[in-house]
Parts: sequence; structure tokens; C-alpha cells
Amino acid sequence: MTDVLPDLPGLGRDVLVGVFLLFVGFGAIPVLAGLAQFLLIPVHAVRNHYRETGPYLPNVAVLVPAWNEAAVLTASVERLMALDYPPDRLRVFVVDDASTDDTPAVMARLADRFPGRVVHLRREKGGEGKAHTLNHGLREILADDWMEALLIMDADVIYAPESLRKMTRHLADPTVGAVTAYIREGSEDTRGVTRFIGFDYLAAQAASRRAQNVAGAMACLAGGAQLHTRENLEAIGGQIDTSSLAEDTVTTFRTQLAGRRVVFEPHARVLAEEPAGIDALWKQRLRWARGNVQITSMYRHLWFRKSVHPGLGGFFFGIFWFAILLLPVAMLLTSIGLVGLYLLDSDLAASVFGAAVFVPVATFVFMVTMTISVDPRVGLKVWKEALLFPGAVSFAVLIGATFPPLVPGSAGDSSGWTLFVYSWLVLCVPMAFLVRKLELTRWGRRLAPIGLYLVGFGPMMCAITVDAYLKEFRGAAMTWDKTEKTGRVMA
Amino acid sequence: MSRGRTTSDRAAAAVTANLASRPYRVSPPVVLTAAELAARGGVLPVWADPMAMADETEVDRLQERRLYAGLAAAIAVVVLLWTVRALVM
Repeated sequence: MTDVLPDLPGLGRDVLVGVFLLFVGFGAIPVLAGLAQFLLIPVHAVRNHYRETGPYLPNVAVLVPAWNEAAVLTASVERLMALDYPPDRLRVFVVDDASTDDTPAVMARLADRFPGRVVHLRREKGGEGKAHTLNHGLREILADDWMEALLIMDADVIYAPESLRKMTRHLADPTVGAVTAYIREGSEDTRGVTRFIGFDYLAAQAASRRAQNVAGAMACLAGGAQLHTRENLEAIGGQIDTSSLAEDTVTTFRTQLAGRRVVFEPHARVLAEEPAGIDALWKQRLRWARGNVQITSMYRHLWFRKSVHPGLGGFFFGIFWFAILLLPVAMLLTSIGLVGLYLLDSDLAASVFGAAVFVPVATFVFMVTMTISVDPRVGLKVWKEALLFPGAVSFAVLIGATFPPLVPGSAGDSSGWTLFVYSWLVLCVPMAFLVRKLELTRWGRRLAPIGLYLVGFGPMMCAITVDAYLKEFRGAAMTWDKTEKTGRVMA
Repeated sequence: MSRGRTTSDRAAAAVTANLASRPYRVSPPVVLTAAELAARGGVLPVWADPMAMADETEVDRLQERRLYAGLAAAIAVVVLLWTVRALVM
């Protein structure tokens, strides 16, 4: 026994123990939600939308918002023109958001090469964000009744030749309003950040969206790959939401709330260029995280209310949603709970931790194994980043907690190690902030990737969520920090 | 706030029911001229052949079964870790 506060009076002590146990219990919710999600993925082998598809090849308008995308547009449009899809049923509309680079010249050349099939729409006043740019194109496209389906994509993404028809086949089912594809990190850069993103996309897109297909509710159509029926676009007002930083998630929710299904097609593969540095990644993910905080407030009437929508308002969808959004809170409470229990009754803390530790271990194993199995080609390239996703320190903590005899000195007084283990859950979050700061210094740029491997990509995402809470609480301006694209995706 | 269905929720449910009763969407058949076919080396593209598209879908559907292998591997690793932990504790 190393109890620091053993002499508290009985009732007060019991109440504190109860509170700390509740904290630990709350912290277990995201872990259990994660486990449930990964257990749902294999069900996709039998519960999917393939039996309800048909050979449907509608007239597809591809809408590409572009602001200073000269470096990537030629490759993207050429790939679109080479899609394995009837050429007379495919038109590309690039909305140039008042670009100041060579985008207009690049588009003029492309429009000449593909007359009638590539259209350049220019906004003279730009900088209002992606949603406004999309709406400019939508107005033009909806004014003509040629379009039967609309594909919204990003300027840098590259579609595999068969991907579009693999998406349109789901639209044969009249209950489907939109389809999204599997976006994969496309540069296959060997830098740590890019490899982590590669694994993150596997887990968040290829794996998690399969679970959402099974659960019957989709959280978000990928911004770079969303195919809508004309009917769906008209039903949701013919416009993209401009009030939040997560316009793609709002579109996804509106589609489902208007009575249509959203389907994920895992075999329609799309390659995207992702940030190559921690700071650029932080800005991109902060925008996404702030968007999710905004959505949570915007749809507060929906959560855990099946009467509003059977999928989005369902218990499991709500748990999945809040498990990610509240993960930093859960980590903080778990740490407080374990450290508090340790100070009151170290044996009880050890029993609780010992009994509970195998749950995150099992969840981690399921996360890594199921994620690699959904796309083994990519998964086997990023297996190290998969194992180190929670960070090398957390990985060592998990191993040490699962197999205590492996920890040197655990037989003696290990209070220092124990307190470190209990508090690292929350300490890793401020450490992630430091890693970002490190990258911004001249001398720290080379050390930052090592810091990322030590602290982990997962804790960094938690730190970004915390940053999103703070920025939303302070009412910080919603700036559209565009990710710089260099055309690294050429696969 | 009432937790019952609102008018718009009922309207969405009605849309779902209405859509489900509709026939499947179909697109006009693709007509490939002899010149277009020749430009493709005489090979009929998948999109011009509804049977080939159906076969492609079936391949994708069957490929989803590899998720069972991921599940089996995950269970095996968890059981292995549990066993080792039980032995060393």
C-alpha cells in the first residue's frame, strides 16, 4: 500500500472512490464504442448494398472547386476524362474561385482539349470558402436538366478508372440519395506524417464507413468523393451549407434527414494528396474538428432520438459520434479517476486498472487487424504506424500494463511508473501540442517527426479536438486554411 | 421539447416509403459504334455490357468476405495475448 490519503473519513472517502470509479467508467465508453464499431465491420460481408445495385449509368456532372490548383488540375481532369465510363455521359465543371495562379490558363487549355466535356466557371470574387465555390457551380449545373447525378470532388484527387461506375450502380436503388468512395492517401510518401495519415484513412474511411453502412447511418460523405442524385440535391435545397466548416457533413445529414440513404462504396478508390507536415495537418484537421463541434450543436435535436431519424438518432450512432468528440474529456477523466483512486487506495486502483486494461488492448488489436484487413496492400505498408498510432510511449505503457512482469522494477516500489501510466493518458495531449510547436521551430523541424512517433497520431487528433473546443468557445473566425497541393499524387 | 415525431420527420418517413415503392432507376442502353469499338481495340468496355457490370459487382460483394479473415486474425491475436498474460501473471 502506498496510499497518500488513507486517513480520509469513511463516507467522504467512499464518495470520492465512487466518483473516481465513475470517471474511469466514463473513460471506458469510447473504448467500448471503438470495439463495437470494429466488431461491426465484418458484418459488412453480409449486410451491404451490393444486392440492391443495378447497371445504372446516369449523366454525371463532376463539380471541382479550385483555388490556385494549377499544379494538380491537369492530372485530375485528364484522369476524369480517362474514367471507364460512357464519355457522352460525363462532363467536368471546374469552378475557379478567383485563382491568382495559372489556373485560368490551365483550364483554358483543358477546355480546348476536351470541348463540351470540360467547362471552366470563374468566380471573380473569391475567398469565401469551398461551400460558396460549390454553390456557384451548382447553380450553373442545376439550371440545365442534362445532369442526373453530381459528383463533388477536390481538385487534387485521382479516381481509379472504374470508380465512378462502381458508385453510380448504387444510385439504381431509388432510396439512395448519395454515395461516397474510399479515399486513400495517394502520395505514398515515406514521411511519418503521411504514413500515419495513410493508416488513419484506412481506419476512418475504409473500416469505419463499412461499420456505418452496417449501422444504416453515415456520418460524412468524403468531401473529395460525393455522388448525389439530382433529386437528392433538389430535395436538400440545391445548395451546400455555408454556415459551418463541415459542409460535407451537413450535406450528409440533410440527405438522410430528408429520407434518403447514403452508401459507402469501398471498391471505388480515390487517391488524395494529404499534408506532409504536422502544422499543415493540424490546420486541416482543426477545420474538420471545429466543423464536427458545430454539427453537434446544429443537430442537437437529433442525438439519441430515434424518432427523429432511425439511423442518425440511434443509440449506436450517437455513441460513435460522441466517443470521438468527447475522447479528450474521457481521457482526462480516466486519468483523474485512476490517479485519484491511487492516492486513496492504490490496491483498488491497481485492481481496477488490471481488470480494465485488457479492454483497450483488445480494442487496439481489433482496430489494427480489421483496418489492415480492409486494404491489405496499404495496410501492410503502414503496419508500423498502425502499431504506433497511440504513440510509442502509450504502446510501451499498454505492453507494460498487459504484462507487468516485463516492466523493470515492477516487483519493488513502482509508484513512479504507476503514476506515469495513470497520468500519461492525459499528458500525451499537451505533449502533442508541443510536437506541433516543435515543428515550427528551425531546430525542431527534424525532431518533430520523432516526437510524433513518441506521442502518437491518435493523441495528436485529441489535441486538435481540444483546440477545436477552445476555438469554438472563443468564437474564433472560421478561416478556410486550404491545404497546399503540389501534385504528388500521380499513381 | 417534445420527443415525438415532428411534421418534417413524418414527411421524411413518407419520402422514404415513397422512394422504396418506386421502380429501380435505369439509364438508356449504351450504344457503341463500330468506330468507337475499333478505337478501343475491339474490346467492349465494362460499362457497355450490363452482364460484365453485374459480374464486377458480384466480385466486389464476394471480396467483402475477406473481412472474416481480419476478424479471425483479431480474435486469434486477442486470445494469444490473453493466454500469454495468464501464463506470465
